Parts: sequence; C-alpha cells; structure tokens
Amino acid sequence: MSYRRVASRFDRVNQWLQFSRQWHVIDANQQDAELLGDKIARYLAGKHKPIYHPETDCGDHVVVTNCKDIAMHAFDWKHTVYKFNMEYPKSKADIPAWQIHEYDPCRIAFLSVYRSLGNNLLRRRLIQRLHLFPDSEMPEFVRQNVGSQLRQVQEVVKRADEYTSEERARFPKVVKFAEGHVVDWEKSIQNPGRHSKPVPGQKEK
Amino acid sequence: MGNWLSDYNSELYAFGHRIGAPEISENEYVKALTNESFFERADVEEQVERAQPGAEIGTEHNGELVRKGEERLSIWLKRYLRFHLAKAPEELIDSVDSHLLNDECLAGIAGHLGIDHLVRTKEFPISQQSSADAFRALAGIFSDEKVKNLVIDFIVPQLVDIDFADIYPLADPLAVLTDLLKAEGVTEIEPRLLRSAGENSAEPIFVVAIYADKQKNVGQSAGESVTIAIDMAAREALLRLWNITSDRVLFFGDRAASVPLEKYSEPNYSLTKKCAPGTNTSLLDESQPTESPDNLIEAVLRYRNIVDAEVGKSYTKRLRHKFSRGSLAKRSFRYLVKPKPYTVA
Repeated sequence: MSYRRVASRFDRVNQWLQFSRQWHVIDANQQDAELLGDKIARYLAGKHKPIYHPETDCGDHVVVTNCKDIAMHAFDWKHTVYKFNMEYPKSKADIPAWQIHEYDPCRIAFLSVYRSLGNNLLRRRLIQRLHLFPDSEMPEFVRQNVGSQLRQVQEVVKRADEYTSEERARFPKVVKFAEGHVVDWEKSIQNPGRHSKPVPGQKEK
Repeated sequence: MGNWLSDYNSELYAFGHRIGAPEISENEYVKALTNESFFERADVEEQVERAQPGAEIGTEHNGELVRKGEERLSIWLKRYLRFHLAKAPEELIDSVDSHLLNDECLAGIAGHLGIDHLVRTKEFPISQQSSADAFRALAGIFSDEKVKNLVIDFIVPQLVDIDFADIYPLADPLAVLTDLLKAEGVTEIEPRLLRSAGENSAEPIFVVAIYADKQKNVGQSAGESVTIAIDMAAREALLRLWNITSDRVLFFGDRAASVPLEKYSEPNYSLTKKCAPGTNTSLLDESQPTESPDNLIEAVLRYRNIVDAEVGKSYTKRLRHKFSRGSLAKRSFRYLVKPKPYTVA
C-alpha cells in the first residue's frame, strides 16, 4: 500500500548524481599507448563504476592531453603496424605507427582506445566521449567541464637534458671519463635528410 | 455489496475483532458505518425489508461521528509526530498530519480493512470520501485508548512512504535555514561548491554544501545547476536540523504504544514566529508546472559557433568512410579505397 506520488526532489537529484557523467583528464606524456588505451577504455565504458552494466549508459568523458608525446616501447613506432583492409580491390594497407603519428599526433591514442573498447557496436558511441588534444592546451569550454584527474599508467621520467649542471655536478661519479667523451645524449640531432648523389656538373648550394 | 454478504451481523462481529475493539456494540458499529446518503436510496425510502448490505434501517448516520473522529485521530497522530520530531516546527507536523488523514490515504487503509464492504451508502462504487468518513467515524465511537491503537496500528505505518522534503516544500529554504541557525548562535552561513563536472555539457552536475561558520558542513546535495544544488542542500540541512534523517528509527506497534504520548499535547514551535519578520516561510505552489530552462536552439547555436569552430568535428564524423560507409551510396568509393595515413581510423 503506497500513496507516494512521483519521485521526490531528493530522489531526482540523487538519480541525477548517480548517472551523471564525470569528466576525467589524463596526461599522455610518456605513457604507453596500449596501457593508456586500456585504462581510458575502462573509464569510457564506465567499467570502473559499481553500477556498470553493458546496457547501462554510465560511461564517462575522458580528456587526453599531450597526445603528441604518447610513447611506445623500443622500436615499436616502426614495428607496430596498423593493418587496414576495406575489402575492395587494392584496398589493403599496412601502415607503421610512426607514419600515422607524424600525420596526426592524436590518431595513435584514438586507435589504441578504439581497439581497447572491444569489437562491438557500443564503441562507436563510447569513443565520441573521448576528447584528444595534441599538446597541454585545451579550449576553455572543455577545461570548465573537467572534474577529475586520472592517475597516469606509467611514471614520467626526467629526460637527460632536463637535468641542470648543478644536479649533474652533485651526481656521484665512480669513473673518470676522458676529455671529450660523450657521456650523455643532451639534445636531439637534427635529421640531416636524405643523401642525394650530386649530378655531374651540378653546382654546390 | 455482494450476495456473499448476506449475514451482515456476523461480518460486523468479525470486523470488530479485526480492528481490535470487540467490546463495542453492534448498533454503534452500524451507526458509524452508515453514510448520510444511505437514507436517500430508493429501496431504503420504500422501507424494503432487507436493505443491502444489512442491519435494521434505523435513522442514525455517522455525520456527527466523522467530525468527532477526525479530531481525535488528528490529536493522537500529532502527539506521535511530536514525540519523534521534537525539533521540527508545528507547520511540518500539521502538513504530515493533513496528508495522512486525507481522503485518499484513509480510503486506502479502509479498503484494506474491508470497510468498503460494510459501509451502508447510496453510491456504488463507494467514493473515497465515504470510505474515509467511515474510518473516521470508527474513531468517533472508540474509547481514547483504542483511538491511540488505531492510529499506531493503521495510520502511523504509512509514514514510511512519506518524503519529508516534499511534504513541506518551503519556497525559500536557505533564508529559513539562515534564520534558524542564527538563532542557534551561528554567525556565518555560506553555500560552497564541493565538486562539479560537465559544466558546459548536456549533463552538468554540481555538489554543494552549506557551511556554518566556515567549519561545519550542515547539509549537502547535488543538482543540475548551482541554484538547484544550493536549494536542495538547504532543504537537506533543514531536515538534518530537525533530526529527520534516513537513519531515523520510528517506533511502530507495541514499542509506539508503550510511549506516554499524552505528554506531547503541546504544539512545537512555530516557524513563522521563530524566523525573522521578512523571511519568506510560504510553501511552493506545486499546481503550476515550472517551465524548463533548457533552450535547445541556443544550445545548438552555441555548439555550432563555439565548440565546432574550435575543436572541429569528431573522428566519427570526419572519418565517414570508416564509421558510416552507407551514407556515401551515391558516390564512387574508388578515391577512398586505398587506406592512407590520413584516412585510417
């Protein structure tokens, strides 16, 4: 026997709170693409929530910054090959990760999250809640939405060229290097470009 | 009402035991269960021998008893409520009382007790009002102690369905809360935003808490806008102030019957008197539907001019060949067949 009418005020706001979408931000700097993809896919699908069910629309938004600095292990940029087949004549292509990354710095993060979401129809909707930004900047209307920060999947290490000379001097030395010995990689070397064979008679530039 | 009810006297006897007052005479029950309209019935006016559902036709009806019973039910229910809600204002107790003793609620209880089948009335099917009146009239013939039991056994259990936030919806809860807390010696009351997410999205959420003297969280709630969240947090704070929380244990049955409820006859404090003269203590007008503040056209234009202009289309829209090949039916696929780094997804 119940004379209760429609959902009360508190029921309404509590339900809104329960099914509200959180906006997470995560920094992709030096993060492994696969591990990051798995973590983000989990949050996009709402699998981190106790109310999760595949038919419950409880996924969150994830904002990924610094996508250009996403990492791969060792020579994986070269050896990770993304295979595409449109099932038309001549429509097969195997493209290494670095080529895709060079064209669009956000695309590797997108591909790895899309794959981690699993092969199902839901992922087309879930992936729309992924917001990728190549560097640390994001539009103001996205920043206002963000309500939580995710822990990174890997520790960010300090690059060798980020140590100051004082820190280097303080570092204990076991071996004394000879004069002119290259101890450490300090800055990246410019790509000298492809060697071209001078045509006989060509003038020096 | 039905042929099965041919022995009205034995039904009344059973009913007396069911409701816990077998000592009351049958005539009094008949009087309490006779509606005024019974005597206008065609067969009754013709002095038919056995007017359904039964008993002698007589001349008495329950008009007087209803008024008397209504008063007595209200007295005992208010005593019970004051015992549990000692810190709540009398206005809240009044609104709970009038909700539990309205026709709809009492007619439901009466229906479950089988009173509908025993009432002698003109109308068929029996209206909610006659059904509720019959229940009230029962309180009119009972002794005071029995009315107390009637209230505790049948009316008080309906409290579990009551939402105290909705039963007394103040129009301006924050102002009332401020007045009440200041009377307790709090100097500063401020609503603070604890969390928020999706401010610019379709589903924004804000969690607001009311802080007293910048230290104590007196009430906290969520909402889809800051205004609603503050409003709900103030309502929550008021309920907490009045000791109405979800872990509150209400006494039922024997436990409630053993409480000396007679001591709680004095009304609680009045909210209008306790608040400052200018404070709005009126209730929300629920009869008028509030207009939704969402403006769809504004949202679409905002998306098109601000969001789309800055971040562009999503991958699922940009890479149409991947996500919706079907929409390109009229065009040749040739030029986008071979995947390139700038087409893959």
